Amino acid sequence: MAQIIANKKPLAEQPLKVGQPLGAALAFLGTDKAMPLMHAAQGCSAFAKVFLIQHFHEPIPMQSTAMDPISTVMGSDSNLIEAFEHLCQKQHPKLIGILTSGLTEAQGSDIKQAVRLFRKEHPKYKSIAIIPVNTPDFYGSLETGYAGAVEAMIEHLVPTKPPTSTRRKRINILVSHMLTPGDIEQLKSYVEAFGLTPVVIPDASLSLDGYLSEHDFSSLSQGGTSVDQIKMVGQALASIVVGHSLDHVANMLAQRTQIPTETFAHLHTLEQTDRLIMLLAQLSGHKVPTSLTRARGQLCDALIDTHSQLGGKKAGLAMEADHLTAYSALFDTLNIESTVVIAPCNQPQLTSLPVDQVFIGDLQDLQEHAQQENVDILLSNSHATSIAKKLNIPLLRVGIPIHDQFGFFAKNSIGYTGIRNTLFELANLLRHEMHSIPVYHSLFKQDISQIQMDN
Amino acid sequence: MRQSVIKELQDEPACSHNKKSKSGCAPAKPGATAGGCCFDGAQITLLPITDVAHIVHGPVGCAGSSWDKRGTQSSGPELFRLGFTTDLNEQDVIMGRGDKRLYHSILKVVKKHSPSAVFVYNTCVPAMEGDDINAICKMAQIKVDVPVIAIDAAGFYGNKNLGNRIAGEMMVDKVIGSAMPAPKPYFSHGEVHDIALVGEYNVAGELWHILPLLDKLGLRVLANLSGDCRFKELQTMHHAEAVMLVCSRAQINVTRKLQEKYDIPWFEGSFYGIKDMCSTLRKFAELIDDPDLIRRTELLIEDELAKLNEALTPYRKALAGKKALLYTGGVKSWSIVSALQDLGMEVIASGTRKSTEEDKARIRELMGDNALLLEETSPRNLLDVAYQYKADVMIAGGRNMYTAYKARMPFVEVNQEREHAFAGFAGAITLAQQLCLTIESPIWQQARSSAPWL
Repeated sequence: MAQIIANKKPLAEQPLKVGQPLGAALAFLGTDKAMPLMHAAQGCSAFAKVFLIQHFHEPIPMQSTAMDPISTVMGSDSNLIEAFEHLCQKQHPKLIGILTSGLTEAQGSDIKQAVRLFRKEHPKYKSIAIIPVNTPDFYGSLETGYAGAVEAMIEHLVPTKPPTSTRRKRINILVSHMLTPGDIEQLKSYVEAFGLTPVVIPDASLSLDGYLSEHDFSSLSQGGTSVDQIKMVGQALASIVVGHSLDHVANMLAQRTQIPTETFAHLHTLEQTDRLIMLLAQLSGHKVPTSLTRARGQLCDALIDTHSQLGGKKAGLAMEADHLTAYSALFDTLNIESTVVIAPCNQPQLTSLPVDQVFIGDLQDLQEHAQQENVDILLSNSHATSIAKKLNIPLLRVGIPIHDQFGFFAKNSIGYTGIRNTLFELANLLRHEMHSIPVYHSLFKQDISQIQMDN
Repeated sequence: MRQSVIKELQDEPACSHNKKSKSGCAPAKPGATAGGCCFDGAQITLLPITDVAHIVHGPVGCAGSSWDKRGTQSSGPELFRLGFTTDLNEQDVIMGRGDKRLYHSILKVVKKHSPSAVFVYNTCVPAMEGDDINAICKMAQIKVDVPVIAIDAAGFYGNKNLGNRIAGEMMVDKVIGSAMPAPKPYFSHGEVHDIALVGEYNVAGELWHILPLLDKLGLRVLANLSGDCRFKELQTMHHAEAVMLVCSRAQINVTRKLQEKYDIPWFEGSFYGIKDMCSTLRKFAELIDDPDLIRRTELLIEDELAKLNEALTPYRKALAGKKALLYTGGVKSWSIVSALQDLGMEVIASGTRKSTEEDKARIRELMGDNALLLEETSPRNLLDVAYQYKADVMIAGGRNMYTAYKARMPFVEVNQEREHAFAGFAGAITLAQQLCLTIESPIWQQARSSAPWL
C-alpha cells in the first residue's frame, strides 16, 4: 500500500494539475452536437479553449456565461438563462454541459435551479439536454471534472427504470479521460471483432479524432455519442467501464440499468487485455478472432525483445491517478521501477498503487525527486519537456496537454497493439541512454605533442 | 598482394592452431561459410584508431554496409567514425579511374580533416583491376606530408582472420617503431612501467574498466592495437616492457614479431571473469619482473576482490544454482565459464568454436570430465541442449539472441556487438547484473503464458 505524502508547499511551481472544468468540457466534447458552457468569467473558457485546441489541433466549441461585477455580486441566474436561450436559439445544440468555476461555486450559484427556471420559461427547448455539473477548480483535477461530467450525463439522461427491450449486440463502454481517441478506436475494434456494437460514452474518437468532414467549421462538437444513445444504455447486453475514476459512475449505471457491468482499472497490461478479450468472447459467444491471437503473440515477442533494455530502469511519473494506476501496473510487469510518483491531487485509488510513496505535487517536485533518485526516464505531459532536458533524460509524453507534438490524440497505448507500441517507444527512448561506461582518461596517457619522431 | 605473402601470413608459428587441420586460416567452403572477409578483418582491426582517416577504396558495398558500427568507443577524436570511401562508380571501373579518385580522396580528406595519418583499405574491385594503391599512397604522402598507409587486404584474399593478420603485419612493418614515447610521468607509489595491449577494441568502453586498475599499478599503456588508440601512440608501441595479447589469436603475429624485432615478452590473457583478471595483472608484474610491482599487484588484487565480493553478494544469492548454457568461442569459452562459476552458477555446456586444445583442457578442468562441449552447432541443437538440461539462461553472441528469445529463454549477449562492458572487476558486476535482470524479469511469465482462449 502506498503512503500518500501531502503537499506542504505554499505554492505550486510548474503545475501538474489541470482544473476540473477542463476535464468536464472534455467529457462533453465526446458527445454529439454538444456545447460546454462555462459558468465563469470569460477568461476561464478562453484559456480552456486554447488549451484544448493546442492539444487536439481542432476547433473546440466552448462558451461562457461571461460573469461581470454585477452578476458576481447580485447573482448570476440571469446570465445562465440568457446563455441557454442564446445557445438554443442560435446553435441548436443537442446538449449543453454547464460547468461551474471557482467563482460561481464560491458565489453559491445554484445551476440546477437555473436549469429548472429555464425549462419552465422556455418549454420549446425541452428536447435540448442541459446537464449541470459542479466543477469548482479549487477541488480535484481534470480527472474528477471529467468523471463528474460523465456521472452527470448518466444521472440526467438515463431513466431510473430499466427499459423493457434489450439489444443483444450492444455493449456500453464508459471510458475515463486516460483513453485517447486512438485508444477508443482500438477498444471499439476489439468489441466489433466479436460482432458486438460498442456505444462509447463519451466517444472522443468520433469528435476529437482529427477528422476532416464534408462540412466546414461547426460551432458545436462534430460527432461523438448521441444523447439518444446515452438515454438507451439500459437496452445493452452489458457495460464495460475503464478507469478507476469512473468507479462511482459504474455503480450508478449498474443500478439504473440492471445489466451486468464490468470494471477495468486500465487496459495497459497483457493481463487486463486478456481479461477484456475473454469477457467479450463470453458475452458474444463468438470465438476469439485469429487476428487477436496474432496481436497477443506480437506483444509477447516485444516483451522479450525489449526486456533487457527496459528491465531495472527507474521512472519518474507525474500524471492523473488513472494514468498512474495504468503505468505503474505496466511497469510492474516490465521490471521498471516507478521510483518517483507524483499525482496532482489525492484520489482513493492512489493508496493501492504498487509503490511506497505517492507525492501530491507539481512538476517541480518531479524534477527534484527525479534528480535525487537518478531516474532514467520521465512520464508526464508536455510541460515536463524542459525538465527532461535539464536532467538529460528522455520523456514519454502522457496526459494533457501534449502541445509540442502532432497527433498525440491518435496514439494508441491500450490493448495488445497499444502496449507493444509503448514498449517500443520506451525502448527507443532508453536506447540512447549510455550503456557504455563513462570515458576514463588514464593518468599516464601519453601527451601526443611530447612524442618525438624517430628518424 | 602476392600469394607468397599470404601463404607466409597463414603460417603462424606462434599459433597452436597452426599444426592441426582446423586452422583458423583455412580457406572458406562455398555454400558453407560464416563470418567476414579479409577486408572486414583488416578494417575491424584498425578502425578503432581514432585520429586516423580510414578510406575504403572501392565501390560502396564495402564501406556502405560496415561503417559506423558503434561498438567501439573513443575518449577523444571521432574521425574514425566518418566512413570515408572512394565510392567507385561504373565509369571509374570501366575507365580505370579508381587510382586517380583515390589520390584526390586522400588530398581532400587531409585538407578537410587534418588526420594524424590516412589508412587506405583495398577492396575486391580495385584489387582485381590492379590499382597500385601502394604507389598512390606513396605519391599522396609526399604531397600531404602525413603518413598514408595502404592496407592491401581485399575481400577475396581470404577470411577475416587473414585480414586481422595483414592489418597487424602492416602496423608492425610501417607504424610501430617510428617514434619515441613521451617522457615517463611521475608516479608516487613506484616506478612507471610501459606496457601495450594487442587485440582490445574498447567495445562498449571496456578499456575504461581496465585502465583505472593499470593506473593504480603505475602501468602506462603506451599503445593499444587498437581500441581508443591514437596513431602516434601506436608508433611508440615498441618501447613496451610487456605486451598482452587480449583474448584472441587473430593478432598473434603482432606479438610474435614484436618479440622477434624488439625482444618484448608477451602473454595471452583475458579481462573477463575474476580469476582471469587477477592472473592478467599478475602476468604483467611477472613479465616486467619488478618485485615492488609484484607486491603492489597482490595488494591491489586483495583490495579489489574484497570490494567485489561485497558488491556481488546480492547477485550471488539470486544466481546460485542457476543453470547457464554458454555458447561462445575461443578464450571466452573457458574464461566466462569461470566467471559464471564465480557467481555460483552451474554451466551445463560450453561452446568450443575457435577454441584451442588448451582452451578445451581448461574447460574440462573447470567443468569436470563430463563437461558438454559444443562444437559449431545449429540453433536447433542449441535449444535442444538448453531444454534437455533445463537451462535458466543462454549466454552467447548476438546472432543467437533471437534464437533464445523465440524459445522464451533469458539471454545475455557477450560477443562483439554487446552493449555492456563485462571486462575487469567492474565488468564482473555488470555481468552479474545483466544475468539477474534477464533471469528475474517478470516478462517471461507473461511471454510463456498462452492466450487464455487457446
